[in-house]
Amino acid sequence: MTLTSATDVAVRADGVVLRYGRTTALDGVSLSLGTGVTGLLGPNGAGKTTLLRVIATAVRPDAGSVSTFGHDALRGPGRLAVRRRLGYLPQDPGFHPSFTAFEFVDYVAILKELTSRSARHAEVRRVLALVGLDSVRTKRIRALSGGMRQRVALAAALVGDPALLILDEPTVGLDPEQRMRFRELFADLGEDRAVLLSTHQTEDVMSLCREVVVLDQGRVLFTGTPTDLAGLAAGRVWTSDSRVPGALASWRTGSGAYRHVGDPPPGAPLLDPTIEDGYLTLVDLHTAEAQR
Amino acid sequence: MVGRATLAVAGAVAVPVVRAARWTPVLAALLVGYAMVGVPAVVSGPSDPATVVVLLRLAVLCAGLGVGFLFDDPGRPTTATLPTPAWLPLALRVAGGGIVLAGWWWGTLVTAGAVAGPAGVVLPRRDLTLEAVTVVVAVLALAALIWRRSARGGVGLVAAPAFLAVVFLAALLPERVALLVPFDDSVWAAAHDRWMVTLVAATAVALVAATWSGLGKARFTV
Amino acid sequence: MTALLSAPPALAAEAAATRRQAMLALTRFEAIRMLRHPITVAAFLLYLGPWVWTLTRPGADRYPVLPSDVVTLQMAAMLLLGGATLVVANLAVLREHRHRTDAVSDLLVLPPPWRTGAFLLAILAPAALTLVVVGGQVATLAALPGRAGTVNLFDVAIPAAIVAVLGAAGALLAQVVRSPIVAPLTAVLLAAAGFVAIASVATGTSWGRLLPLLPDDLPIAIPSVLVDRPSGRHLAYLAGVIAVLVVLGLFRSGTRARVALPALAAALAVTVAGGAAQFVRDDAVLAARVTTTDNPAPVQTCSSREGVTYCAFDDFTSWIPAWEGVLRDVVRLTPPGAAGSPPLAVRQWVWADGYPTFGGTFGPEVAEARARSQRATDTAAGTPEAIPVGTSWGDNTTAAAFAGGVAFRLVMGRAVAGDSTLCGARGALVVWLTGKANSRTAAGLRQLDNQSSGSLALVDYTIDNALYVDDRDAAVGLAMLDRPAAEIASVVTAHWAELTSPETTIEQAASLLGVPVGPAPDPAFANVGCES
Repeated sequence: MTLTSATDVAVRADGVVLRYGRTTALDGVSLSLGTGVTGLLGPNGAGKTTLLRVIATAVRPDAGSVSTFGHDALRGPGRLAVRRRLGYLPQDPGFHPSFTAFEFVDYVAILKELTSRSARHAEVRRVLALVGLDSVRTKRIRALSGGMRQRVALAAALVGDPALLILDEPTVGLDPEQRMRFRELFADLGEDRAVLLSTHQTEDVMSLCREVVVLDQGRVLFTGTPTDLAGLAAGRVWTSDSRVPGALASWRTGSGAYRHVGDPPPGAPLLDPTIEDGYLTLVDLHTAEAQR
Repeated sequence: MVGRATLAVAGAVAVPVVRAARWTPVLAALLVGYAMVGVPAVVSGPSDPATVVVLLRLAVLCAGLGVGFLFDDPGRPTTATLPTPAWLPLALRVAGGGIVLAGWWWGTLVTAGAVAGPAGVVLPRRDLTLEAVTVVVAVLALAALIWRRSARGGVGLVAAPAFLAVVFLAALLPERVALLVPFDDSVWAAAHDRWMVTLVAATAVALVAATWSGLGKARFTV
Repeated sequence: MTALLSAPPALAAEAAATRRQAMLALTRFEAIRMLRHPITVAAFLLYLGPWVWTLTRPGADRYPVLPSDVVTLQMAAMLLLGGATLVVANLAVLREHRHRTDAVSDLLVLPPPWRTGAFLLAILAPAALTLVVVGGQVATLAALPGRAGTVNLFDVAIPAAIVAVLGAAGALLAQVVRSPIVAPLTAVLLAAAGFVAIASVATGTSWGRLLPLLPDDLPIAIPSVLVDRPSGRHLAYLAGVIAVLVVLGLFRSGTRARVALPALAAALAVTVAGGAAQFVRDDAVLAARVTTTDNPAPVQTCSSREGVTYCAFDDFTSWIPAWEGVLRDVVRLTPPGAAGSPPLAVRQWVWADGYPTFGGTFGPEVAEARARSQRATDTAAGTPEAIPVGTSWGDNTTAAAFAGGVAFRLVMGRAVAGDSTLCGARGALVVWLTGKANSRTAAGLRQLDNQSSGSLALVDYTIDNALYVDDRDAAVGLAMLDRPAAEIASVVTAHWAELTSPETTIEQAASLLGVPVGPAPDPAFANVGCES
């Protein structure tokens, strides 16, 4: 944990439990977010989207508390105060297909209580430029590609300059160049605000995040820096000339040698672990523990 | 709860909200509903008031099918966590729909009067308007209940068949509590007292379903 | 690993078989989805629930007449099962569009016409379920001891065909208009058309046969020898409509015109031929309707039970025990020998010709001619002054109307014929006998009293005669029902001759029975048509 000073904490979730029927999506999740980009990693169905929805006030948990900027984010006036400073990009955003990109973001801006027309329009133009949609802002959303729609949704999240940004897989559907640009944008945004983003892109995490949270089966498995996460696999990544059946993961790299993650045989040549190796090791240890 | 900020938002958002509503199904339903009365007006001579009452009820049935689509809001996942309460855009859309419906009902009643010919004076316009308003509010209540559970804002799709099922159940009501009584029946007045009760109940359900943020288990705010 | 990754050899012959298998797999998937759709489940529950309830509740009508009760089932099936299948099939085809998966599924192995074919085949599932459900209903009705009429298998199949027509229409609509409102609106339009078609049968219109359902051509039940229902031809018409919708759906999703156009032409030919053939009437049956309405005796079976002769149409003889029950209940209230001679008889009549349509002829002369003809028929058939009964049974009002006819026969010594209005003591007595016979006739009498104004009409609308009791006299009869039964019964038995005399005024009868009587009306409005 690098966040120690109370003033730096934007979000503090404590013992959050949420069940859908008999499925427990979140099983006592506690975490703190500070200024900077925090990455949320985890397998599919780990509860990442649910946790983001809880923090974004879209869903109320069965138990636990979420305090955002010192407000109780779960109910009443506290939730309203949080929503005024929040930008949320849902996993599967929705649009009014007959609106143009500008109109839709403008619509969201009004609902974010930006009621002064000229200031609002300037703000909408600013965020559209930020996500690179300047040129298509008068096109109907119906006519936009998937990647462009994703950027419209991101613009809608950014409008009003929120102090807390919650982004659920923001780079899905973007090409490598756009992804680079977005990485840059998120890094800039994280300089003076809290950004929480869930992703399957471990490179995003490595290059962007000051903090990583790994979630599996509704529980927090790991909190720390990306380097710490990679460090979990230290001494567990090795190379050889042939396949090793017992390894966690084993593949032939472009150079022809095999790269393995798991328990190395004695004397095997070790490699430097990546964040992916750390993640793999972590999830594997957790699964083994759960089975025992 | 409704502060100055909310009013300012309402003023600014009214036009986009009304534009964002799905009008095609609503207008199609109103058009077909009008045809229930308008086609007989053109092709057949004066009908007796009892028949005109049935036609007007069919027209209202069509309108009811369309009303649920006013709740359709594909933008909902994006707008669910904004500071403006979700009922505000909804209320604006329903208000816009209400204006259209009121004009439609006026036109339909005028046409119905023409269909009934000279006997049109006995058409119970007040009671039929009560029925129409009740049906619309009942659909709004039904749609609001569905809307609470629909994360992606698809409401009319579910509300329309559900409404048909409710109408069918209403038609099966035993005589003691019947709503759809024939014109000139001795229980007409009593039935319309029941319509009034239904209206009040439906209004309450609609308001609560649209605004109540939910306590305890009712946790879906999307 | 390598073996798994390498593609199997693509063979042209295998491709067609694979395609068929894929279509059938998709059909199965969609069929199960359709059957498990909440709308389908709700529709079947709404369809069966009220039907089961009306059949099993206490005092239920257990005297169905099969051809006409099956039409009621057809209407309900079109509204609920057909409407639900229309909406569900529509949603199933719209689903791909709604979830924006059409771009993905366009790339799948199964070409669009085959996918449409799978949707259309899947509609057979709700249609088959409808066939099973309606078959079960008809079998249940046919198994009731009080069943009249005969089962027509074509009529049993029509609801399933209706469901298939509406399902195919729903699928086609989704391909033409991508809006979910169209299907429910179409269902409502069909419902409206169905109601108008059935309601306007009485006015002699027959365009309703072009709808999915097949309305009867008379608003009343008739014996099967007089039935002229083109059920088979209607089924052929529906098959043609289904074929047209299917071909249009396949064409719309990309079937080649070279295949689609001849198929469409053939389907249209079947539709037009079947549709037109429905309007061809059976002249022999129409002629039989005229003669049977005047004289039903030749096509009836008579049986004698405890000295009373009952004559019913061959397929209505199962109702005789029920008629006998009501007749016994009325006779029980009268002194022995009240019937006098000739011996009591009951004859069923049918109004299969000249059912009152707009502009029919009415008036005392017509009624008198009818009464003469009825008497002549009964006398010639050996059952003079037979109490008439109609082709409807099982509800309270028909029971009351029949009890009124029995009471009239006992009080007047002759049968109700034409239009009869009873006044004075005899009117009150007939009302009392009707209301006292059993709980069913009592309930029916109250219902008839609520429905009528001016005079109490003890009328069975399936036959062409009517019995009225002047309201003031009927009120005395109704008041008698509120008095202790034993007391009134003993007065009636003791003063039978006096109470059945045309000379006895209602005031005299009221004072004899100790019940109040309303003030005498202005002589100018007095009922002049009283039976003498």
